[in-house]
Amino acid sequence: MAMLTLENIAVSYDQQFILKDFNLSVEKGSLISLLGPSGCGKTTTLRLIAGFLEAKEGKFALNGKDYTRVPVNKRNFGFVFQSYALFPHLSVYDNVAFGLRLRKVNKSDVDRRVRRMLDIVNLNGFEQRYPKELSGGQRQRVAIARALVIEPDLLLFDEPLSNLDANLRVNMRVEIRRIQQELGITTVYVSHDQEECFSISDQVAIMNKGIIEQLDKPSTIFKFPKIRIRGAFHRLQQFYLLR
Amino acid sequence: MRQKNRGLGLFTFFIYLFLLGPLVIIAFASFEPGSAMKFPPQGFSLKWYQNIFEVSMFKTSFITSILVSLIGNLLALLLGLPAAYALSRFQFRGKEALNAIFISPVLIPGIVLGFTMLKYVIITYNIPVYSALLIGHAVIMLPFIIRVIASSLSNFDFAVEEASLSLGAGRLKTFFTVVLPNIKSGIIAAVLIAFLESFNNVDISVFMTGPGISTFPIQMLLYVENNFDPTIAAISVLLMLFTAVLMFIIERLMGLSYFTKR
Repeated sequence: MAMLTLENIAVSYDQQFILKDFNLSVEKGSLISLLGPSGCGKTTTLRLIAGFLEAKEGKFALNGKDYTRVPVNKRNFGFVFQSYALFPHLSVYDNVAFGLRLRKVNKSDVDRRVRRMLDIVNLNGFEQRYPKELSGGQRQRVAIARALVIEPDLLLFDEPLSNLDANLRVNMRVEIRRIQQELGITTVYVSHDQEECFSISDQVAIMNKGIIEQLDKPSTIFKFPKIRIRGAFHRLQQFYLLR
Repeated sequence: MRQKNRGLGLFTFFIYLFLLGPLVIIAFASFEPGSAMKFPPQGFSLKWYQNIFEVSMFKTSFITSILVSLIGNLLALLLGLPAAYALSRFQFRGKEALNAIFISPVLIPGIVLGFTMLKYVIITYNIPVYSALLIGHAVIMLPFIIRVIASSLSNFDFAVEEASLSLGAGRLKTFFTVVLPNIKSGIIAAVLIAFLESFNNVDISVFMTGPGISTFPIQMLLYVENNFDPTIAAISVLLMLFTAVLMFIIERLMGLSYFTKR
């Protein structure tokens, strides 16, 4: 059952179309990544789904509900930013509790849910720290906890690992995948890193110049790639094909 | 190398002597017991400090100055905060022109601005003196408010604002709960800088003051025209202390480097 659908979406900026007649559908509970070079429209697609951008034409629906004209703050989607975008003036605890307090959740439930979420992202004991006192990986985990604690209908990632160093990147993507599976939440993941997209996703959409060139399971794309394959990703492909 | 450094040290010493010397002389002269300013002072007395509080025009004009600076500040903040936010946050046509207009009161000589304000605000539109004075001061404070707050906003990651929106806060709520707390020190610094600018202003005020309404620096000028006793030196010392305290607070809040970098 398709849960997220984009139909004939058009987005333009300065009279230039970034997306035109764009279609996409994502199954419930799965993780899809949008992969492509910068300027390919992947971030535009994500920001459109989040509600930061408005579609000129087309329809975006989730679970059968039309979201095309719903403003961003009424959508209940979790968004994880490239720059983490934690609230610098709030502690880790208050950062995570922010969305719950806006929803008028009572105090003891806020406490329970925040602590559970910090448990999931392995940040117990960091409640009273401020964002500037955390490492990059810790900040990103706070950002993930903050997006997840509101029990979003959809989880969106915008290049969440590109500011982290290589080792941490691998650990974090494993962690993101684990959390996503554990909570069974439908996720759209944007990255320009091939290895990252292929290791984390149920489906990968390879985008270029505003269109999807190939949309399939990672194993299928490995066997029948329509893109040029290079570097570390090439080794990953060899590994897959040998199996 | 050593030789060169000594030369530089000497040079710096003279620069400071030139800049601070007059202030030191004024400070000493304020303790002169006689009725004419002398340096070095012939004795030690605080009677001219006492005299400040006995001249009634100092008291009324001081209150006027404080009120004008505070209310004018509030007006400038109400206009300047949204302007600084819009100029930092959005890309739109005419942005550069607006920026230039908002900064222009600093670039135009005060005398010219003061005279123009007199011509339009008071003569053409016949606005009462007190309101005119407020308008004039709000205008000269606006560039400082906008500049300092915009500089504070340039360090603010607007993705944080989007994060708040995505978590369910509306635009207004986001501005007050997320943007404002993060530029708080910038706003306080802007208000203090603007306050000093307004409180010390002569060139605008001189055109905008009228019968019975005068600001503190204008009264100081008038006083010096008729008297040459050390009262004015005593006032200068108090004003220097007052300014130093404010600058110290600003420095503590965000560092003075804030205003020297572009």
